[in-house]
Amino acid sequence: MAGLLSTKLRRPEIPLRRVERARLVECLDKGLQAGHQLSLVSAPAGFGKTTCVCEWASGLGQRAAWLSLDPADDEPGRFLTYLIAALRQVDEGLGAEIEGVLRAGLVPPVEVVSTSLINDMLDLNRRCVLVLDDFHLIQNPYIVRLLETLVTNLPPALHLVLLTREDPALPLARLRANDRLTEIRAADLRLSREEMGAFLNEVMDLGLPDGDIQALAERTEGWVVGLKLAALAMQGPAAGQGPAAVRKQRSNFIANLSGSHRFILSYLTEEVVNQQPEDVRQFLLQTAILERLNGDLCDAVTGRQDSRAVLEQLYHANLFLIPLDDEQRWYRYHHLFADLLRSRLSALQREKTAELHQRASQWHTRACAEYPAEQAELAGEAVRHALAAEDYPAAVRLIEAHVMDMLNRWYVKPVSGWMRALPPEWSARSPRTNLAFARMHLINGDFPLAGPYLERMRSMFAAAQAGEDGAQITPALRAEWLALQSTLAGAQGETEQALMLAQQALAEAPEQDDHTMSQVYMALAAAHQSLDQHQSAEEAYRRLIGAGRAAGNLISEALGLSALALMLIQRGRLREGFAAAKEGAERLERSGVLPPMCAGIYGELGVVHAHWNQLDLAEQYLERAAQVSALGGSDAAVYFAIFRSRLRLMRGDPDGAAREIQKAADILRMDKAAVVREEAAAQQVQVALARNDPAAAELVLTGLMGGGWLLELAARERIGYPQGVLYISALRVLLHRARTRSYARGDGDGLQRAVEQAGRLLERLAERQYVPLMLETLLVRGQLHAAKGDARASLEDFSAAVDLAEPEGYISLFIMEGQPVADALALLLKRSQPGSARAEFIQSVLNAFSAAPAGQPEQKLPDRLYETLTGREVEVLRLMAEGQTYEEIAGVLVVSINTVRTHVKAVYGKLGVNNRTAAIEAARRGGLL
Amino acid sequence: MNTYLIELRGQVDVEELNEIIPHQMSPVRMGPGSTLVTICTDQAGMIGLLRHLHSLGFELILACLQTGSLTQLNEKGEK
Repeated sequence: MAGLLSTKLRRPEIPLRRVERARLVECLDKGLQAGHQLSLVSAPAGFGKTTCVCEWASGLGQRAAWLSLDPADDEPGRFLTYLIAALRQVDEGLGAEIEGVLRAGLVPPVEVVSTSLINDMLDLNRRCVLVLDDFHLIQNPYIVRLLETLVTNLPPALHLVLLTREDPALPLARLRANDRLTEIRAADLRLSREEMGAFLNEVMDLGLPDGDIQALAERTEGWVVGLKLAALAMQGPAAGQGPAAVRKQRSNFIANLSGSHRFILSYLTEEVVNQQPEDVRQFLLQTAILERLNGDLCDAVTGRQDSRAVLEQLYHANLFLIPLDDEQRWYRYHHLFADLLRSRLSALQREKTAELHQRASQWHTRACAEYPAEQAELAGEAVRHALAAEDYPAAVRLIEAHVMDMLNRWYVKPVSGWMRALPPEWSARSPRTNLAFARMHLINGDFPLAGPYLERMRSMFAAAQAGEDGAQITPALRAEWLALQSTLAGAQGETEQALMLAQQALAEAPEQDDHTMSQVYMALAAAHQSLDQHQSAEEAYRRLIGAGRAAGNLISEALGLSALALMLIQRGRLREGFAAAKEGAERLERSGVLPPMCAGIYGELGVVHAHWNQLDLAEQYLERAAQVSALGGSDAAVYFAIFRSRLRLMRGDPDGAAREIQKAADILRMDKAAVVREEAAAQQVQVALARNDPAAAELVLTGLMGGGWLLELAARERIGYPQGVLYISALRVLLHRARTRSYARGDGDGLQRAVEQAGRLLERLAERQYVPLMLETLLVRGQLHAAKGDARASLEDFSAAVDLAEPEGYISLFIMEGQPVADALALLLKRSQPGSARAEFIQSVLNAFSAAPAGQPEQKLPDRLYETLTGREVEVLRLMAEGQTYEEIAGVLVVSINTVRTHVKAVYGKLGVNNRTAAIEAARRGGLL
Repeated sequence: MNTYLIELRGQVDVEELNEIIPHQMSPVRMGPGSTLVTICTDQAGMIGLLRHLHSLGFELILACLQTGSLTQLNEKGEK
């Protein structure tokens, strides 16, 4: 992936002069060979964790991947981006699907990521290792939960190694108990007496007697960095002294060494630094402010011209400089060493520190242009140094210039931190940052979080208008702000307001600014559509597609194509809708970007294929839509269950259709706000009638519409698509009553009322151009006429349906109505001119009738051997089936929510499912509930 | 490795907690107001565990190095 700091993905160099830790390498080897899932190296700073694991990993060659974490990685999107990049080091195929979603700017739910990665890892044909260094910097609950899931379910092919200063919040006790964990702790990392002797005398060539080594062992307690510093301090110049004097000096030095580790560290660092020539001392102090160092940057900060040579010299002198790449272009200091140098710099040269930070900021700003692949990281450093120098104008300029790119690369936490670090009067001069945060929250559906940022911008605009010294307000900025306001208003149901704001945005937006225009047209199209202004919405979507394409904004373009396709399909323009959706799908597949919010494109292709009775293709696209949607954690499970139920019914499998629609009903019981409630109800009615259960159908309608579900359409009542499907469902129930002669005594004119109701419905639907619903209504009314004995009116309706369906090729709607419609079509065919388009169409529908399965045998469920659920697990499952939340279940069982989660995980695992609905269904099938 | 005493407010299901935490806790006493456990780990383990218990919402009453026999502890966990 572009824009990643390659040095984070590179295993650090093993120090030139070090103690070889053969016993620790052997311990890690044993764990790997024993099939342990996790190796944990947990100890405070300075115990040699990284060096030890580097030594081990160097023997593994290409099989080992490395990721050095930093505080900015404690952000799910950024962590995942780097995690996948690291995994790609061992196998190119790992994480491709998740990468597609990340590139679309979204973070999938933990379960989706873990399932996807684990499935990818199952294809690995050799054992690989992934090392995460400095894992203690990760505290984000999403990331910890992801690691927990991965660690618990890692396939044998991948071995995870965590280096950390504190034990992570993972179920280590369970791994330990099950012998799936290798541990190296502080006590293991302390140098043994023999290792110390080898380091001091063989590596550092100090020639210390045993007594001195023993004394040093007691003072440092085997602490690696303490010992290394002591060795460096003792290696210092001993001008004009003989060997005996040097030995005595060293013995005295060791004898005088005392105190805590921190004290020893501070003291020894002073000693080591003081031994360096003055110019090197200055170099160390001045460059301590840098997270990463290279020759050019150090020259800029120190004013020298030989920094590259100095760095090499320091590296060879083992002065805690760690190379970050193979070319030794970049280095960093050991964290402890850098901390102490910074403290020293702060104490000695406080006034000069600001100037050093300013130079560093300027260098990083220039480097953004020179190294575009690392622009986000370099810009981040530029901002950090500008803030440290209190150069707020520079900081604001940098943030404004790079904020969008940074947020797109998941720099959310650092950018938030910068905004908080800026004094209020300066953060008020950063409208683009506020805009970027508002957009980020809107994209993520966090509408309440977006509001304050948009309001802050209103104040900025007001200040600018009043002529106060403030941020630079451009027409494009105002237009984008208005567009976001429109989106927020629309999300809050204020549709008129949303349209007004979008129109204002259009008036302000510079026409040549494709990026801004795409944002504006997105808001405008959505506003028109919410007000059922379909022609205007269609025009806006077409302009959105053009502007998005011109701006290189694939997501805007794809969203436009998806929304346009849906509008066209709902209005009976199947072929045009299909073409738009197909174009969108092809653009996405070619780009490798997988935005879950564009899953609708695949759903629309599925819908069209279903209308054309191409059921295999419909199913294929439906599953693709479900898969892409799930990557974003979208709650579209109801929609997919409805669609699957329809396909099952089309395939002549009413029982399969019933199972699918039951899933939708289960979800709807818990999710009161589902937007496809009416469609789910309509499908429940269809399925119930197909299974000859009109009582169940009537119960569904009563539940949704109340006792008087045969509502009379008012003359001027305007109905939407969802209401339309409900009215058709009511007509179907009346038709069923008529066919089974189950009208109540004295209700002889019920059929007539139904026919009249259908007529009114048809008018309303025609006003809105809801062609598929018009078709269904004509077909149902035609059958109502037939039930009344009015064959002529019946045939007229079927003929009108053919006229409506033929141009776009609707077939399955006819097949769903069954034999009565087939008989009518056969009659119409006889009356049609042979060879005409109408005749050919009718023939194709009749051919499809012949090919339709009479009733497929119920799908055999896969044999599943369920592990026995514990009593507690069955209890949890029962409560889940009753629709109780985790919190409610915890209350009933008097346990913590985390305990409930643990039980739920175990239930899913034993039933072989990954969601609540599937678990309940599996339990019912297995007789567990 | 050291043995530490940790006391958490309320009645804690130690067995269930051990499933999700880094180190096994051994229950010493569970009273109506608090639960006392011991745990054998080092400093890195202790810091990680305390942070995790905090994030799980447990209220820490006591955390100290265990010296001496547990039977010498009175009800308040003091010697």
